Parts: sequence; C-alpha cells; structure tokens
Amino acid sequence: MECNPKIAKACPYNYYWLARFTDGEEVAQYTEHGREVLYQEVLNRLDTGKGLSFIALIPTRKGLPTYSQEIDSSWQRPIVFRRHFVKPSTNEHHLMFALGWQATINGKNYKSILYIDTETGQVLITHRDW
Amino acid sequence: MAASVDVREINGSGAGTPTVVTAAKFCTADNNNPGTTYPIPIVSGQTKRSYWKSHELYLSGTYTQISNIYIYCDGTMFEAGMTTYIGDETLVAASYQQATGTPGDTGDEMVAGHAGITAKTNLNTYVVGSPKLVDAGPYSTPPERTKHVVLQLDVADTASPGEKGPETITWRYDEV
Repeated sequence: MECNPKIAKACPYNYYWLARFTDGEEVAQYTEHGREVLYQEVLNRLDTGKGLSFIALIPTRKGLPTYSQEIDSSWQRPIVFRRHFVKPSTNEHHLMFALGWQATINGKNYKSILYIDTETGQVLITHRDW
Repeated sequence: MAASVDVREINGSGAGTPTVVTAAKFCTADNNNPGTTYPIPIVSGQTKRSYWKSHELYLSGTYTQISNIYIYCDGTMFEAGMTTYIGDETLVAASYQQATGTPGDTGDEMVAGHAGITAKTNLNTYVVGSPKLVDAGPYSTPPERTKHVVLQLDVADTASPGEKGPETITWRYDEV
C-alpha cells in the first residue's frame, strides 16, 4: 500500500487510515478531492454485514512505516482512533494513532491496540487503555 | 474539516458565559483574563484562595465520536505553599455555578461553596500515568460541551510573592 499523493495533500496528519473490504472496496480518510471521510462510513458498511479485510495507517511523510491490521469480521471488530494530547498554555498538540482489534470471547471483551506516535512512527502494543 | 476542540472557561452568573482560554490565570475575581489585577494575597496565618475556575472542552467541526476525556499535570504545579485543587466531581453545563468570594482578597472554598463539589484532590495527583477522567463521553453530535472541571489555587502564608507560572495542564481525548 503506497501513499496516494492526492490524499496526502489533503491530510493534515502524518498518517491517514484506509479500510479495505472483502469485496475489494477501499475507503480512505480523505477522498482524492480533499473531502474528509468520517470513520462512521466504515462502521456503516460493517453494520450491513460487509466484511473487512484490513485497516491500514498509511504515512503521508517519507521515512515512516505503514501499519496494517488484518481483520476477520466474523469475530473481530476494528479499533481506529486518534488520541490527542493538548496543552493550551503552550499551544502544544501531540497526536497518536491507535490501531487494533477487539472481540467478545466467552462473554468477555478482549482487545489488542497498537499506539503509533505520528511524529516518529514508534509504537506501543498493549491490551489495555493507555 | 476535522474535529475542533477548545478549552473554555465559564464565568458569570446564571448559565455563565464560556470563553476560549489558552492561558488561564488564578485570581481573586470571577475573571478569565485578569492580567495582573486581583492577585491572591499572602497573609500570615491564613490560607487565601483563588476564585474557583470552571473549565470545559467545546467540541465542534466534524467527527464520528469523541470520548475518554482526561486531564493531568506534570505533578509539580507551582511551588511550596501553593496547592492546585480539582473538584472530585466533573459537572454537566447545567451544574455550572459562578465562583464567589471577596474580590481582591480570597475566593470561597470550592467544597464549601459549590453545590456540585463534595470533595477535592490535589491536581498533582493526576499525572500522565494516572490522569483524571473528566468525561467518558461519547460525543457524536457537534457542536457539544463536555463536562467541566472545577479548579482552585490555595495560597498559604509560606508561599513567596510574585507572578507565578506558567504551569501546564494537559487535556487528553480520543477522536474517531
């Protein structure tokens, strides 16, 4: 998966998400025309029973790695969000992307999340909220 | 357009008037931008207080969901003789209560004076590894106001005079 330069131009972050469904359809966080696509678009498709193959975080900047989470929609649910750290007094705004999956197994929720520093591409893998 | 999130201080009577703040200042008035007016006096044998401050996040723009809103500091707010407290309860907008006290002298203590606050904790307790949950959310219909926190600075007679800070408070939230 390579960065789409038109999407990269529209994306204000160092990464954008891209979901590929089992029927081959791809939905990205931005269209090539620069319109932002809410993640709700992915959830809406999943609600119809459509299967997800994977969700990837694709870097818009050279030197950062791509991250991809394969999903088996028959038992896994994707986790994708951005964690913001805001310091109003210094106008600092740090961002991490979270990518992973969760599943309900024997009535208990299990999850695995990869936290990705959007500046460095470094990751933390955890089963808990961080 | 992605989500836009602002920190706002609420002041005034009734439902209050929110104002976006970047550098909030503890003082002895219900004022979000006092400059150097209304300082907190240092008085021998007494603890003086700022007026309490009500801070919330204002969510606008476009997003699927915003949730898990936390607040924390670096664990070393201000200096000896100065303690920053945060109310244990976080409150919906309808529970906003205007800060009260004697202008230029001291604010009323938050637990005694604020109907929505039953206890308070030193903000230094809440650091990056153990932040305070402000509002789990989730919020999904912008524009929206999160619950607000109540903050207050106590100044004992052991504090040293002068303009202090800046100190940094961090807000953390998840956006989908």
